[in-house]
Amino acid sequence: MEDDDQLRERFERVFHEHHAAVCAYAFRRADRATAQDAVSETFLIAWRRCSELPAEPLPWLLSTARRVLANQRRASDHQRSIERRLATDAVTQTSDPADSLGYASACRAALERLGERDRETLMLLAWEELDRHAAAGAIGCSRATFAVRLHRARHRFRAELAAGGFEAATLDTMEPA
Amino acid sequence: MTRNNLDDLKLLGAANPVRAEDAVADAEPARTLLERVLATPREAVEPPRRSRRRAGLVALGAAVVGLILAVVVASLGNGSASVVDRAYAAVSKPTLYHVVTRMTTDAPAFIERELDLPRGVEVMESWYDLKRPAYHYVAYELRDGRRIFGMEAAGDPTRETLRMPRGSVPGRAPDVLTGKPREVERFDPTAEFKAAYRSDNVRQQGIVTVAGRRAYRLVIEHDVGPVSDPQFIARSSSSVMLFDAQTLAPIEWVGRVVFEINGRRGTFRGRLRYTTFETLPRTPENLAKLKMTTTG
Repeated sequence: MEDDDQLRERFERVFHEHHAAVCAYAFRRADRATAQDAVSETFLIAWRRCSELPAEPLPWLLSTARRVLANQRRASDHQRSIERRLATDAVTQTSDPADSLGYASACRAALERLGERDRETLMLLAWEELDRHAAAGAIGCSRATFAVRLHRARHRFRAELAAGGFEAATLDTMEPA
Repeated sequence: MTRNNLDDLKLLGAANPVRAEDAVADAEPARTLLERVLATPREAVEPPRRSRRRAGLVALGAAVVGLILAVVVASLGNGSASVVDRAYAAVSKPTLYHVVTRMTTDAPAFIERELDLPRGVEVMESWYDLKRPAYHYVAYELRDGRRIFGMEAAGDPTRETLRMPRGSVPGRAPDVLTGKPREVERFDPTAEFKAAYRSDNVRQQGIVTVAGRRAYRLVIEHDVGPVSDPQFIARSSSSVMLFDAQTLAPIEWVGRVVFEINGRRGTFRGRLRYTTFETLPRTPENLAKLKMTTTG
């Protein structure tokens, strides 16, 4: 059993290691005010449950942030805030190959048209850069279930890209970054 | 892994609109937030009942998916090998198969949401050639008398073209999850039956009569135990396939899982009926069925 000082030290370490990741997660899914509230609430919950935090806490933190955002959605139209973020509030990375080829907006538009579950599955891998094991932990499902969801999400994402005029065949001409 | 397989997530990653450093710059200063959080008494803890329930529901969905995929199965019973062997042989001929199935599910609403289960009857028509091998399938949903297109796909173990309601996706990826070649017959439960057979995990349990047809009842079952949370336990699950006693063609698949969730039990049931299961001569006309019917 850890004493208060040990818990405090542990929490501070977790906070410093993962604050940026939790901020990024929230700001990619909500407007500024909603995201700030979600980050704050997430770390408050982490502090209160510090003794229960797993050894690798990032999936737990992102899972908590996801639930906090879901709760906020019931009070406000969170879906619209995501769509606004995806559509207009982009802080673009000008050096990336997607932008240089004009694909970034097509990718974000395709992502926006997906259901929330598909979108979250893809964003955890592509934007939060979690591996599949951690992403499954963040969603709160088994790796097998995550694999099934990813399979479906990628099919739908590709179909949405194609429906938006983005030729998937073009992907074959690009080298991985 | 092919480049196409790799690139969709790569491209999506490159389309990330918010870098972590931008998010941090836009957020409440870290030091301020940390001090505010640490000033909050830890005693003000509220039991995370809702999140625990949610995790359990997700776990429940995971177990049902596991059942549908029929990965874990029981031991082969003595004395039943001949029927099981014959059933396996009937669905494993190196020829062209034509299969039509109708799937219905019965589950609590939260399971339906977790698994994206169809609200109506899901109909799937597939053609697959175990010799070449290649496949083509069309899935749609029957809902309130309407036929709602789901998806169409055609390909071989290493490449596939997929058509969905909003567009067509030519591709060449093998199974995006494993990087392994696809099984061309994976769209009906015979694929799972064959996998179970190969690991000696199917047993015969009686003969039944279905619509006047005598059928062998082949059982795949196991105890799941805790799924991912001690509060969410799959008490039992089973899959049963019925095979026509004369032709050994599959007639029906039924899957069932009993869960205990925070002391409360619930059951998922899925039933898939084969309305057609036939082999076709590998004529040019029949092999043409392996092609997409529509493009774009």
